[in-house]
Amino acid sequence: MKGVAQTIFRIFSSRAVIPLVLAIFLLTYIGVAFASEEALITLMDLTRRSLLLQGLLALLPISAALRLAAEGALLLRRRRLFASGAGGEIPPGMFDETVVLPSAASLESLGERLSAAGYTVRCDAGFLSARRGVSIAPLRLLRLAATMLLFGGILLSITGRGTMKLPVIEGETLEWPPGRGDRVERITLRDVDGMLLNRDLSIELLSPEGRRSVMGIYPPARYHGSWFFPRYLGIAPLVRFSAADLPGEEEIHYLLAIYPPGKEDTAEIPASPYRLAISLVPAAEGDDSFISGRMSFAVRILKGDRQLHAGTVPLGGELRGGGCRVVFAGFRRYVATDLVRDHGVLPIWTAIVMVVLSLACWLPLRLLIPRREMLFLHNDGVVHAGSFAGGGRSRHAAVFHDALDFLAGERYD
Amino acid sequence: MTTAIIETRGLTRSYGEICALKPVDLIVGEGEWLSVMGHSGSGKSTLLNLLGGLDRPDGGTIRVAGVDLLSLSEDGLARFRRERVGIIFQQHHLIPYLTAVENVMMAQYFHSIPDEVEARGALERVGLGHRLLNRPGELSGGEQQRVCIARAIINSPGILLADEPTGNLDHASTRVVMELLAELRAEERFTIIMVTHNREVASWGERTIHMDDGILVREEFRGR
Amino acid sequence: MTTALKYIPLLLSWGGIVCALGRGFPLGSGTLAAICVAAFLAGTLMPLLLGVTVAITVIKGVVATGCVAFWLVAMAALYAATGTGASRERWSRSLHSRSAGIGSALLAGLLAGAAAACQIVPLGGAVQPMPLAVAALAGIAVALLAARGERLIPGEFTLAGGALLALPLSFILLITSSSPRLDLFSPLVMKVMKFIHDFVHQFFESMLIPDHPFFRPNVWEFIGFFFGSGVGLWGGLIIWFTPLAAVAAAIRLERLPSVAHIRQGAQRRRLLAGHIRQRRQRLAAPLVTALVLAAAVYQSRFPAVEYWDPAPITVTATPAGDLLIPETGEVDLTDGRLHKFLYRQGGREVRFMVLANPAGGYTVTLDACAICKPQGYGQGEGALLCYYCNTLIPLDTVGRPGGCNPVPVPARSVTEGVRIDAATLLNLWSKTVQATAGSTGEGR
Repeated sequence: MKGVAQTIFRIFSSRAVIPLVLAIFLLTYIGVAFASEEALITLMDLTRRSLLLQGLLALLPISAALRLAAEGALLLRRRRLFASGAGGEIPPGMFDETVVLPSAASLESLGERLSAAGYTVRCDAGFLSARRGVSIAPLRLLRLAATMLLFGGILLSITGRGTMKLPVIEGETLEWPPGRGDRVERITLRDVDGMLLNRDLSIELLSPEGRRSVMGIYPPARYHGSWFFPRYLGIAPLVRFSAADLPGEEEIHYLLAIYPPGKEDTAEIPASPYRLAISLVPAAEGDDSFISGRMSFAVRILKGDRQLHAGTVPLGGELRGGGCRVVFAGFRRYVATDLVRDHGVLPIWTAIVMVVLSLACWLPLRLLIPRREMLFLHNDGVVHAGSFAGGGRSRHAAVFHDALDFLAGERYD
Repeated sequence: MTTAIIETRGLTRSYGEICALKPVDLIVGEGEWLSVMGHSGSGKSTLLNLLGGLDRPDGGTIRVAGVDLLSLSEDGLARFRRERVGIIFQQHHLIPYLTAVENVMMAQYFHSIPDEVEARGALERVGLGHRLLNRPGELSGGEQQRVCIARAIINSPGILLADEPTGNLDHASTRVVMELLAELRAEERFTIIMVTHNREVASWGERTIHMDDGILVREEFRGR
Repeated sequence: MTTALKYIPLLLSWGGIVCALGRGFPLGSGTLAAICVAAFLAGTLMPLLLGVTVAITVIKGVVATGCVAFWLVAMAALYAATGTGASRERWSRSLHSRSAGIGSALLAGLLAGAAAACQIVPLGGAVQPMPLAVAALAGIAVALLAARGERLIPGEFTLAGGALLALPLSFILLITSSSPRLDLFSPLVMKVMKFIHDFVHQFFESMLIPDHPFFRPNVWEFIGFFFGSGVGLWGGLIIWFTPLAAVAAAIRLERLPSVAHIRQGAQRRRLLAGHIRQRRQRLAAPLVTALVLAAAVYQSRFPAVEYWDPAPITVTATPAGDLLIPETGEVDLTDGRLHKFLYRQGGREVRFMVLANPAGGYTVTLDACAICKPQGYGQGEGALLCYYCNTLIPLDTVGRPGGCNPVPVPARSVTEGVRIDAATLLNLWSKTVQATAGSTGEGR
């Protein structure tokens, strides 16, 4: 049983598992790309619906976790070995070079020689370890942890993400949770001087219990257990429309995705063939309609496919033409928001930060102060020696060979 | 009876009309220290060049370390020189803008790959562990010659050819260099063939041969 | 004569393939020549037996599979190079077997012969036997010369492991990239661009990253790169060259043998120097492969093919708001060639094309598709080429919506010619084309 468990552990903690699974997904993507224009979406959808693909995807964080455990154990074992020679022998696979040679030379003298070469030496009866540089093993563990979080997060996201559209309109109560939604007190957009963002959005909410909260743009805030994700800014103008062939005046608060200026949205007049194609007139230099509230609308009055009239209307003004009258009586700010339930977001972001951190540390360490180690165990006139170099291999190997020559009596001081 | 490491039969070399070496038969044993004496133009340097593969004879045969030098191509001869022969010149021929250790590493580079640790070890062995980073101009004549020796032995050649190694040195430096050569020969069993016009220096060898007008005229046996 | 000159790179590539096979596999030059000649000859018959369209599909499918296999082999080589020597030796040995050599020679010969024939045999026209025969004979001669000539390459330059697959495959890619019908790089660029667009978009969605109005302009410009066309080219180049880089890295990262058991420094150094020298010599093959792949990319990006692309003729609408394109007059719509037109109204303009279809009517489309920037189309043999993405659209599919096909425009064939509703045309252009590029589509 223990043997089976060890075999399973060895297989799933193998370095080949992650590249192999990624290769399977890549080949699947290539296959899907031949059949669909939206290959990535299709693949995500397939994974969502297929237990087999989910199982494969789950192999990634599992393998990373098992490798983390295996490498952690190896790291501890190595530490013990270099601290005291515990174990009494050179384990296979731990070093780049291992050699056994008869020697009567003293390890202390060798230790002095290696110290002079810049190594930190630890010497005891029958044991000598020499090392320099900084080990990147902890960074490798960090990277494995990041891999585990990344693919675990992707799995959670693909299989468990739910999105609900929630219009957020100034002065209105949110539609969710039904009957208990917070009231939108104010929507404020302002210019900021951030590193990445130059605009900040804040949505002030008041809960039925009187608790105030502010939803920002990034990082997204939480609302009743979901991520509050503002997507698009819009304008909700109050439009009054009347036409010669319509019985009365229609007054409607439309939600229009017309911000920033340059986008046109259509507003249907209910139970009539009339439509309004509305866009924002670009504001004067330095002004922003959403921030200041000063705006003008470019309006095209359409009946069926025919355009009856077009013109520009300032907020509070009216447009007459083609037998119609359009008044923009007022407006409210509007944010098209998604409420996203996704437990994978935090793990993925954490993983990205960990990867960036490990890369930032790895490169200078690897280039400037890579770890180089030697171990000598002396027993009954025979020396077991091992050498490892994370970088600067040829120079380190030269020192190692010189040390062996010294132990074999080939060096004369 | 030691094994012969060098054997020549009827070795000749001419430069135009000048016959620098008339037929020479010579056997040198492995580990032997042979001194070659003679006046200027006697053919001793020509003999040394032929033994080291630096030149090709016009006639005769020459076997060094079991290799028939006449059968080697130019590339083969160059490889033979790199791997089997170490040469110490009177004029040092050290690269002036390289440090002592770098000069030794140059010999490693042409042989295989440079190894600074090994080069440092070789210089420590010839007593220049404290002068590793000095350039030839900062070294005395004797120290320069010791760098040459380190350069010559770094590739474990087996045969050392020395052409007037102490020609430019004072008495004290000469002694230091000779003692070093003797020490190295005792430790590594190099075969040394040394050309010199100095009788005292020649006496460091086990055997001395005298050249005159391209002919081996006489040989003497000594010991230290 | 021009066709003959264009055929020379193909022959040189074929020669390169034969040399590479001879160097990499334990086949005698006679055996190699015989297999290559037979396979090349069989390959030249493939378009005649299966039809050009099917042959093209088969060639592209096999070569694409070969590229995927190369990726897998390259990654495995890199993985093995950083692992134990045993696994490296084992899989390397199986790659160098005689049977693998015979299989590779057969496959390479078939592909090269078929590709050569596809470039000569027209898509819909009659087959001319003489050029095909000359091409086959030329291929045979090159195979024979190359099989013998391989001996002239110095023996130190070996092909092993991943490089053994890389070099012949790169020459095959060079052959296929010379023909837009067979080219794989351009479709790869488009697919990669789509993938990166989708991936970045999905990433932003999944990570709840806000939309562009909130970003600093310079930051959004940087992000915008991932939504542009350049990302496809760079991504394609990365995919194209990464397996080769992996093969080179696998060679470079191969551990040198341990010499710790040798006590003489000179001996240690000599052993290591020998291995380093061998390792360097083995890097020659990836270097040559890189040059060949670069040439294939260049050929793909700048094909030596002429495309018919007339300057658009400006048309005006009738008082009823229709555009009437006469069948004959300034242009002859019945000539089977592409005809381009330009319509302007109130500051807006739209480019559209009219093409006679096999049913006897006319197909009217925008000079743009719903996916790419509107750089327009040119007409090659049996297909239209999108200038933006280099995708070939067979003429018999023009008029169908979707993909990179030009957007179809509703039109009526009338006695005088073709009638199109101007408002519909303008709305269709506005709706499907995000922005007209700077080019007005002046004929090339």
